Amino acid sequence: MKQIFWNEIEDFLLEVEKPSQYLNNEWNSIHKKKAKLRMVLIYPDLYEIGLPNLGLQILYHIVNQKKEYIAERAFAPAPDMAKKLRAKKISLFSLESKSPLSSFDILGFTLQSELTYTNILDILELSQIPLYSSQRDKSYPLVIGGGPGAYNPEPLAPFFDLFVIGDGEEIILEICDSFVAWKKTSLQKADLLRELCQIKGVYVPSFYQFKYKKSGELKEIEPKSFAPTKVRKRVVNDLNQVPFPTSQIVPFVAVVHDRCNLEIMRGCGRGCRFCQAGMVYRPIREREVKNLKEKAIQMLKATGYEEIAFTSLSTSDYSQIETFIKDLTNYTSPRGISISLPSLRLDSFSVELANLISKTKRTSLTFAPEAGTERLRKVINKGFLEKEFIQTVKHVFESGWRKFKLYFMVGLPSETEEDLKGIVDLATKIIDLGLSVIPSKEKGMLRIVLNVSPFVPKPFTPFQWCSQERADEVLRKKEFLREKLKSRFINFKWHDPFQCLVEGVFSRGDRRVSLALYKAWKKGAILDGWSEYFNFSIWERALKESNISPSFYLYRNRLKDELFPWDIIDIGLKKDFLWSEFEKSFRGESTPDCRDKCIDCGICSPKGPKNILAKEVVRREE
Amino acid sequence: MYRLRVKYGKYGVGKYLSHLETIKAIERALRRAEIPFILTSGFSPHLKISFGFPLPVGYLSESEFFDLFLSSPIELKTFLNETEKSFPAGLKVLQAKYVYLKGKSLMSIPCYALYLVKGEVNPPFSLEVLEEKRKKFLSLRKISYFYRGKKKEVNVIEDILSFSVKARGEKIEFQLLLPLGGKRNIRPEILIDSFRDLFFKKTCFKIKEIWRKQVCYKSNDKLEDLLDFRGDERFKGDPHLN
Ligand code: SF4
Repeated sequence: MKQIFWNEIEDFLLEVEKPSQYLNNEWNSIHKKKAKLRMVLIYPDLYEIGLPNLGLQILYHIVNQKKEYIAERAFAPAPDMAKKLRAKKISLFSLESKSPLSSFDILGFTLQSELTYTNILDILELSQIPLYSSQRDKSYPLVIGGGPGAYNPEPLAPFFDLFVIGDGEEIILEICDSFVAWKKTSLQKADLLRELCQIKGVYVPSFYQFKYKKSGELKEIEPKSFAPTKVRKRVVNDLNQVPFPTSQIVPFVAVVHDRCNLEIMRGCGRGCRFCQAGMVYRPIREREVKNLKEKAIQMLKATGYEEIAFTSLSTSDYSQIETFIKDLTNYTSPRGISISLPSLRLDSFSVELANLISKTKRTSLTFAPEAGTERLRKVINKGFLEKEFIQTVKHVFESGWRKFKLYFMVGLPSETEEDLKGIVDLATKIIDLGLSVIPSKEKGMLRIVLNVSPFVPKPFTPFQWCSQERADEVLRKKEFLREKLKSRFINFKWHDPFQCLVEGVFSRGDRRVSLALYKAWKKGAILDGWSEYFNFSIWERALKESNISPSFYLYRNRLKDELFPWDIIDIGLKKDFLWSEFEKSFRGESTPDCRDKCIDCGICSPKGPKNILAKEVVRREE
Repeated sequence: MYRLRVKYGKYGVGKYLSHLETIKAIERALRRAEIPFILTSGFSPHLKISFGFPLPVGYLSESEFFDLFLSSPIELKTFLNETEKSFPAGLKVLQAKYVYLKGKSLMSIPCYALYLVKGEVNPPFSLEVLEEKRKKFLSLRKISYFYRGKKKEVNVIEDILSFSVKARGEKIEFQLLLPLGGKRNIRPEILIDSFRDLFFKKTCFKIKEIWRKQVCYKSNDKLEDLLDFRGDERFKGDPHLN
């Protein structure tokens, strides 16, 4: 592939939208010339979505810390850019050195959402790299994928050479090292893969044959003799021991989450039954306050950001959260830096935290009740009592907050009209409460942003056995809610159920659905996560032509012992544990947070990973 | 409080940044440099800073401005050194000067900008022809054009302070001095396009680079660099000027 020159791109760069997303000199980007190994980390969505991704930034720094390795970055080009590249026969390029992607040793894709999968094929094609792993010999880059999507890699299996399962901090360098050793030899790609599949956390799909029953279900998974029968997830036992990048890249163009992102903990012990992240990222690993504070200040100095977010699955659960916030505000307040807590639990403690970080500005608080009634919340194990919730809401209004963002799901298992009415009830109660508590001249500021998304069952959750709600039924529920929630205080937001349908097919899909992915992309499906680009009729045709019946993947309750495509992966949790959680959900039985009491999900072990809580810090009052 | 007027340039990739992107990049760079800036009071405190007239995307510049309010006076040399280290590619601080605290804001000073526009000509033409056409162009009373679907007019004598053109081989260069900002604003490429369309073939030359070289204000009928505009004489007693 011919080298790309910056001036070739500059020739038309002013003709595309937001040209600054294609520049190579964002603050803290790393530029190296020579190396034994060159890798490009790709987020298969637009720059504005992909750049802040923490996983990508972590790996970028870990690889670049090694003198002899290079990591660069690439993103899906916006449609106007893609069109130009095709017209001018210019390959998609990495940002840093503007090299064609095919010139790299390794392409590493972040798999974040099923609706980015067509972008992956498009990126490969824009780089003139054959899509199927079997068509690529050693003259092409090794194509690997990792991130949450890799927990069910099967729908992408034919396109990838390997997947990385679990935390990437350690395994990425192990793969690089093996690659460099292999590169010196005259061995073939198959030899490399054979070697790599021995690394814990590496899944090489071509070494496994999937056999199906006449009914369509999976019958067995047959590994090659040398390949492990199960691929075990990688876990970093102690996050304090692995690098965390403080020199995060500061983009020119506005991106989502345009701020420092500090991961304060990984994993969650709450065990919400719909939540894949809550299951696959176990156990809980908190970083030490001292470590976090150091990192936070370094980050703010290195980036100049005016905001820092503490990211995790449930920020108010970090055991030293109050101490840490108080500590850090000593640094941030005088500098006008704001702290944001993106995922708060629904209780008074969280409101207190929110009050701590925004002494003056109290605009919007986000909570995720997920379901409208106590009964359904018990089913999904997100139990809280309505009484307490109302108490919390009162506290919120009294503290000066005027805007609420609320997240709900519809189509949860066992959902009835009652539960939908429950959503309406909750919203109405919040408004009534707001109107009675908020002083009259501020009443106009009262606003509830109500986000409703259709539930998509995910692998490795207790609901992996469930049927997904039919799209037409979801639409009916949407209309019901919209009708009932007409109020000038409510801003109703909705996810397209047809996007969720496609997401669902790939979420629990097997290797066979890859054909539909290919066909949909061929017919022009791209950027499917964007409602302005998503085109369901393409998907309908693609699924049909590939003989894929969506109902098989979506609308079917599975039996207890059905073998799932993702069972090739061992995330450390026992399938029995997930099943017992599933059964408990029928009975509306809740399961406690495993910090209070271990419920033996299977991941912790004396020598291996376990829940790590941050040490208590004794604070001297200043 | 101190008010520092800063002149900065936009080079290379800087031309792709929109005005908002530029502001954000500079504010973050000032934070990285740990400059003793002042925060605004109010709901969400931010840097007390005010920017000059926006530069259109695609332009390069040697003469952009912002006024930064400081809590303690920092040595100008230190300011230049620190920002040199903290400014991202494409943006560079060139000069800085303390000005009267209560002078006019940058955007309310009537200004003029000197532009240098570089292009390519094909086929080349002689200097005589160019010069003749230039004179003809400047002898017109009005030039009208369409901007964002609206018909607009330039009053040649009043609005075009200067318009010169040179060519050498395939290179062509224009220099224009035009009113800057608000309703008075005139974009140089609009005049150059009209000039071309009036006297030459549409394809005969192509603009490659547009530079804003200098921004000036009028003082007793003379043009002075905006950096030297210190503000209202009434505040002359301001002790923090060096
Ligand atoms: S093994 Fe016990 S403590 Fe560890 S994550 Fe599972 S439930 Fe929690």
